[in-house]
Amino acid sequence: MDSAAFKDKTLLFDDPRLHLSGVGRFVVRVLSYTFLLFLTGAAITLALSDIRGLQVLGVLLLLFLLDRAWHAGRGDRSIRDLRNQDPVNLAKCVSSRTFGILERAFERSGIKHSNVLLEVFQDLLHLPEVVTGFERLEISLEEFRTRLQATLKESSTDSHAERLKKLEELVVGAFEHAGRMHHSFIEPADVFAAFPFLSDPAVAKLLNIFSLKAADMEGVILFGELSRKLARLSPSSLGSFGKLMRPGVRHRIMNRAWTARPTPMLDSYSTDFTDLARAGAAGFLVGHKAELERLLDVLARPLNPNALLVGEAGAGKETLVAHFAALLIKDEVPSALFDKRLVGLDIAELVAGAAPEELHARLQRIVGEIIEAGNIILYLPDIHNFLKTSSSAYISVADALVPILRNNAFSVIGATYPREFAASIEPRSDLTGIFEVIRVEEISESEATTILVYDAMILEGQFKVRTTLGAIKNAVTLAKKYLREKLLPTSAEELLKSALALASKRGDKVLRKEDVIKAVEARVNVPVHEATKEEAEKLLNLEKIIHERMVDQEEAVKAVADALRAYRSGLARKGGPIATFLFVGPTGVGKTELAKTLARVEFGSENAMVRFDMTEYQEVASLRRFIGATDGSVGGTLTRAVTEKPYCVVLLDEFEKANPDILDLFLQLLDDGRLTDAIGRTVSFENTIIIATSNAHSDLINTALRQGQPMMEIAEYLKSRLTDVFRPELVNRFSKIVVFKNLSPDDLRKIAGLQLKELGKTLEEQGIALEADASAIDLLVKLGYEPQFGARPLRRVIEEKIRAPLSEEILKGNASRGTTLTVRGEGDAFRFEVKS
Amino acid sequence: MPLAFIYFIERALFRVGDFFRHWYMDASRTMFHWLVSLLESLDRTLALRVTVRRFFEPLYQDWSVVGRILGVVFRSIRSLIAIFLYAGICLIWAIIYIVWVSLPLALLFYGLSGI
Repeated sequence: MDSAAFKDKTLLFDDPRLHLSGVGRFVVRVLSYTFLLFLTGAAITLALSDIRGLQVLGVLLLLFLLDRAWHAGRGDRSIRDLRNQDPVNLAKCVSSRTFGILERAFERSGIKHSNVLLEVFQDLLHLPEVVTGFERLEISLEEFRTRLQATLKESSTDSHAERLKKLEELVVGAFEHAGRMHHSFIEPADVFAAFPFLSDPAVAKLLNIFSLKAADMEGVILFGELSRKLARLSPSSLGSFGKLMRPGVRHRIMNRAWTARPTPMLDSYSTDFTDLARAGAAGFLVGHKAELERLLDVLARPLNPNALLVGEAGAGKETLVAHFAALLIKDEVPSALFDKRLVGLDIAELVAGAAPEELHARLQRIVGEIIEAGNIILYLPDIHNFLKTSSSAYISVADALVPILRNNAFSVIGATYPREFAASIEPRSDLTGIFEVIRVEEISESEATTILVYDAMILEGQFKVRTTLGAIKNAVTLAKKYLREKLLPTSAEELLKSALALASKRGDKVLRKEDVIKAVEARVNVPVHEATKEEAEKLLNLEKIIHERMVDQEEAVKAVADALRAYRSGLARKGGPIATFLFVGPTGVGKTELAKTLARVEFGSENAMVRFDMTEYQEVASLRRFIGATDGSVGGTLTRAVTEKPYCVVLLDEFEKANPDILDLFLQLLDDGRLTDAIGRTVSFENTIIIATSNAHSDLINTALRQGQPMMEIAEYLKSRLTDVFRPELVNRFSKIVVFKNLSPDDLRKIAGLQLKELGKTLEEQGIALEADASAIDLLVKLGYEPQFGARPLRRVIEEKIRAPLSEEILKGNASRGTTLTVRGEGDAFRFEVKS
Repeated sequence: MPLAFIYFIERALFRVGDFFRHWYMDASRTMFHWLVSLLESLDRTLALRVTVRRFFEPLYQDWSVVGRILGVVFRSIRSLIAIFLYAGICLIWAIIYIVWVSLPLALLFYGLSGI
């Protein structure tokens, strides 16, 4: 019974026993037990009496006692029985076990002057379901109990009426939970789940200390409920029929109305989903309610009763179809679909070893059988494959089916992927006209959690490892965030399985949330765990680490370091990329270098940087290349890159040169962290750092620098002039605009040192040591200093004047393993000395 | 203390009323659900509803006269079997129900009259 039936009704909790004194309650208990004992004795005595009338009355009394025993532990009325009452006294639907807890707590709180709610909580901690719940929540019961007892010692000044009021608030919350869980009575588990909704500050403080949230507490109750229910179900009844294909399932040729005909040819190339459903494998479905309703509506209508399910792999298309088969056999479908068979045609078997003529004949016969049978709903998985059956002599199953489907001869459910739909099906108006397209979207995180709770129950048996709720929730959240190549729940199920396998290998008995984090880190090579002490230190000194490879550019380095710290401390803005930067400044001053450093520090490798040269996207047509073609024939470079590497630095070089239409794409992306590609798939950029670089107005910087203006002033002026190049709303969407300043000769000297150090590392691998004295560095700066080109000329000088001659020395055999090469600057040339 | 005694007596009387409520209201509801579930599960095999709806359709799409006649014949036999079976089940259910309903009152009556 849903608690919605009690909406707008007055809910109260009033039991006369709570108005009695402690002695009074004791007397009632003693009297009740004594009277029951007396009745039992009387019933037996009467039943054994010689007087017939007394014997009959004894039997009646025994029936009364049996009824009491049968109903022992239940409340006076079930929740359902109370739906017509107003006001509703919830004391009537409280189970005796629950009432016992409430009554004892109430009594104790009166004697000890303590908080009645905390007394209730203390009693709940002894219940096995709560003990298991705490274990699943990864909370130490002992620690919680100690903290609770410490809080209980604080005296409460609540009057009798106030304590009753508090109990009422608790019971009303428990009643709402019981309604949601379809319980007949308010059970102790419902009371446990009601605690986070209470307004009592002591309770709120206690729950806060242990981060106990309503969803978590409901989650563990659900876990307990499901484990009890699942014990009665076959584990194989979860998921779609894909897991259930097995020989020996009895095939029913006849339908119940005796109107259908056998379909031997169809049967040899297909799987009968209704047979499988009848074999006891229920199609288990969580979520997809709207899609299912739409499917039933479409199939039940007289015209064009054909549905096309379009969704990514793992979105739940087959699960939906399997559930539909389960509904068919239970007659839980519109009357037009009564007594139908759902049959999935296997294209691979159909075309295997068949010449075009043979294939054509098979098709004709199958279609003929379906029409004659009159009760077949045909399921065509991967329907796009039916369009390319034979390349040699083009015979497409779809071509054969379309004219028949147009006559509404039988119903078809097709399934395909968005890309294939856009590429092969959407352009064909003859097909799209016949089918009603139903988009099957990824299920929500809460729905995936429910599925994973079921999965965990089954997997616990297999791996002998107990799964905590935290592990399950983490598996869903992290899979959604980091494992985007598959959809929920598949991605989360795989993650949970791999975490369980690792835990089982280690000999762990419990799978905790940290274990799931480790499993995901092993797969994506990105730090996901909360920052450790050592890592926190590294984050706090991030500027120093970046400066090991970057010279100057303090503002830029601080901006990226701040962004990383916010991300790793969990304070980054939700619902957008980790950070978005617009790096502005002349060429060769370190914009790309900083992006690379960022990729290495945050995502473990420079390979985690996806680079786009925006000069390649100057035409309107290049939009197609960027986010893909609408017909699905070309995938988007940007969307594909981020789908493959969801945790990366996206570097957009020379951003100002991109076509304005492409720049408009970034308005949404920078704001929401999402981008929808040409075929309607949404790609998340929430784990990316987006860096756009621009040389716009760098001439202004050079001129201003030549005039001796301070960099601070130049930066402010430059930012104000950016709207000449970009639309103001685009500029505003960047989390930070960083102006890179020109490099001074001193900066260049440091860069020269760094680059020579890098060269030295390469030589070290060959056993050659490189030494460069101050004269060499001076000469490098002299030859490589061109303010308008930054550090680029310096790199060129090193390449030409140092690396190239060194290569020659190595090839000539002058510099070999164990030698030391010293570079000196003399005049305008470098001199190399080799020492062994 | 008197309140405790009043409460005890009130509860004792409530339990007597509760016994009759369980016996008549709750048990009637449960027994009716049993009957409906049993008939529904039988109808998945005997398919009275579906058979009646397709009564005049030919057997297995055999649109010949023989097919049509056989359809009516076989469906009539099946429908009759289903009707008799369902009626039998309903009758047995009704007998059990009447016995159930009259049991406490009969016991009370015979008990009191037999003393």
